[in-house]
Amino acid sequence: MTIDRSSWFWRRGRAYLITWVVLVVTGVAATPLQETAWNQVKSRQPDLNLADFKDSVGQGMVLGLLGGFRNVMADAVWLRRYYFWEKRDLPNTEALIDLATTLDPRALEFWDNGSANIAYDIAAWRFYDERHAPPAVLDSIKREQAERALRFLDRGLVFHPNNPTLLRDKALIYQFRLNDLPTAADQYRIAAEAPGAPSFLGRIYVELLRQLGRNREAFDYLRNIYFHLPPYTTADERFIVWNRLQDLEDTLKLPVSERLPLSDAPPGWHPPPPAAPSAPPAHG
Amino acid sequence: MNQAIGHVWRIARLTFLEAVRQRFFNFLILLAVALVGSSYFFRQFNFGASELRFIADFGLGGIFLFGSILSVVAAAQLFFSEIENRTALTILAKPVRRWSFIAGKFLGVALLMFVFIALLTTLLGLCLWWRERQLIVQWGDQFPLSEHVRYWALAFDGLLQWLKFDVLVAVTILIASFANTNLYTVIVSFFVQLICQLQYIANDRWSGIKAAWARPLVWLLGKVFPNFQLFSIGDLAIFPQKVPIPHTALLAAAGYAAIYIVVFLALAVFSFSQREI
Amino acid sequence: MSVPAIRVTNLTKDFRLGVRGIKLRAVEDLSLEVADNQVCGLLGPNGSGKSTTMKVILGLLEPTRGHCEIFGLPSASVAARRLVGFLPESPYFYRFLTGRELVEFYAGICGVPNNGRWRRVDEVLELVGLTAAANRRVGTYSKGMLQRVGLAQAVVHDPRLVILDEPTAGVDPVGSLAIADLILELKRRGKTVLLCSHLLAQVEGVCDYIVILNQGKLVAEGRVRDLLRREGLTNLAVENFSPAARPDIEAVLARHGARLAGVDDARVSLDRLFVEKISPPPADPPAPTEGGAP
Repeated sequence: MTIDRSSWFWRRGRAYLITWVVLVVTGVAATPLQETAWNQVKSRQPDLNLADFKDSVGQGMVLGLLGGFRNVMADAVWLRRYYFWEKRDLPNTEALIDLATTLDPRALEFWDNGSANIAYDIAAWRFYDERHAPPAVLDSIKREQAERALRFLDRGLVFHPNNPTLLRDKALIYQFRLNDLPTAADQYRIAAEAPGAPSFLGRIYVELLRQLGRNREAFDYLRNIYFHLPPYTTADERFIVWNRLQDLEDTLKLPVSERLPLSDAPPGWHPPPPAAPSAPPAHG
Repeated sequence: MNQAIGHVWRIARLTFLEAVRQRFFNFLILLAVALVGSSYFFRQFNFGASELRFIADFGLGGIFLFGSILSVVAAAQLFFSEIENRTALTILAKPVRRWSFIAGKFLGVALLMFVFIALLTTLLGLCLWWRERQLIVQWGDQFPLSEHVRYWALAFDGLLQWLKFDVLVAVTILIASFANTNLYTVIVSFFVQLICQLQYIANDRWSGIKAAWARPLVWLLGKVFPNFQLFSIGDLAIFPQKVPIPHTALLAAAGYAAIYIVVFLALAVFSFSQREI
Repeated sequence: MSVPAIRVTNLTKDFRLGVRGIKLRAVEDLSLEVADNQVCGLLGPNGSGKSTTMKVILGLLEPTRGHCEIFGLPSASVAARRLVGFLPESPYFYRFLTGRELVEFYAGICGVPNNGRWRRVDEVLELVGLTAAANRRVGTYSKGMLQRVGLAQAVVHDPRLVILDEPTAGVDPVGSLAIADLILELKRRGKTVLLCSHLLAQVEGVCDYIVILNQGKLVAEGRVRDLLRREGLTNLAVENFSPAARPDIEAVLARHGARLAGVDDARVSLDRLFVEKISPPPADPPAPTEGGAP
């Protein structure tokens, strides 16, 4: 078979074919390297589903998202949210909170601040709009916003499982917006036991248990906290915990055998001076 | 071989010198520096510890945007200026092999990108370090460990971004090796970059496509173009992760880039050797 | 017998244009030889195939058929290109380099050894008369200076063959004359020069051998003297000619079987007249000293 060297295939087509074949072979050969790196990225970055926000972004933004500016655009949306938040623009603030968290669910700040906006700020704006409404309406607004914030936080916990900040935010909402102390206490406990949680969350849990009259539980939990305080705990914090244990011992009227010995007191702790005797009643 | 390498170095050096003299390069550097430096103003928003992520996102976004533009435009411009001014005629009439010319052009633009990335990554690192110090003083023990910047990872990310841009430069040179105009080269290269950013969709989802005839086409698309999104593995490593990113993954990304640079340049040499100057 | 500097054998070059690949035959079955140490002019109208032929010789184009050798080596080989220096038409060089840096760059590319390279650069700059401007940026050079620095980069590696494409295009007569003198100097140094030019008067002045192409084909080649000779006519240069002597001269010529075809004034070329008029007068010879030394 003779080759027509003047044909388009020999002149150009051959080059294109070789190029495509080489690139496909390279792509196949480089697949192990690609998967090693890409699997790490994929597992830490949720899928970009344009259907989630196709109505709230323009074409330019879509191009930017697809072009690799996802994080920057999420940040820009978050900053834009500030503008509408300052103007108390409820629809836009909510929409941009949703959009920012959809674009970049990894940013904890979005979930933390966003939940506060939903539970507290937006509720306050709606209170103002309905300020002449009866208390029952205001209460239902407060409840509605709190539940929306809780659902929002649950979405955030999918991307930040067991995150103490988001768990704390849930606890705060149960405590101050829904007045559901038992659930709030439970949430504080879960938050306190999450990895990396600040130690004060456990103390708040104890405090709520006291408010709920579950002093024995509070005591047992606080004692466990005391004996597992991390090494970097300050002396002041140790004193606070010890003093609370002392209070609980008194509240529970524990016998000496069940109280913590003074030798377990933190170094430098001194018992409080006895209360000065009250002045005798004046005669006459 | 020594002489060929000498040619590559001479052409690279000349290309680099020509590039840094161009106003376009200096203008882009200024814009990029301004963008990275403007992240200083995030402190007005009182983001707390998350401010460092904002600074990093904006800085890395600026590097990505301006780096992409510079890679494509510089490579196309510096290649075509030789063809249009016919200095390529003069050089190729010398005892210079075509592969030396291509390699020299690539190396010159790669050096340019290295300077660009190094400058901006250093600036970003300084911004992050300075602000991190301030936040640690302000927050003390409450400053979460997860928000501490890992500067070695930032430097390595700069290296990965440089490698990614080198892949883009190699792609641009491949297109320039057979294209007739600078404009065509630039436009096609930007399109290729966009495809490479989206390659992961084809790569991950080809098997889920309903139309049987389309599946092999999409699979092919996922294999022909490199995956540029995987280089964001460097961005992820800058802040500590719950599950640390293994070093093997970072090295795999670097190896991936190296393979594609070599392949695209080899194809460019093959194409350019057929070109009638 | 020395190997010819250039040997082109049955060269045919087709270009395929457009998507349909319409064939354009730029050169057809061309064979020519340029001997060593010859100045050869490659002439032809626009589109005659001169540039194509030159690019094949330089190894920049692949022939469709036939082949080309430089001093016995295939012209596309790197070894052959080491023996060649090339000055392109309307040369454009890197404007940000000085003349010296530019020539040094090409010297390095062509393999001029490191030690002695800068000395060699200075030599060729002096040869082309650019020593004074060597440290200025090429972007500030005039057209004539660009041609000269182009010549410098073409010869810096001491090639055996120098190919010049329109070396005097856009250059004033003084510059053209300087370039012509350079070409003759190159020949004197044993180089072979292939010269493409539309300025036929200049080609006539410097070339030993010319090749004329038209529509891709060779239409004439040979020594200048032979090609330009008019058969059957001889010029005589006469001093103090008087019209009264014409009949006697005609009678003498008739006795020898010749005929006076015409009488006309002897002329200098316009180039030469221009150069003479604008060049500074030669300096007066120095006055003899008392000791009588010259």
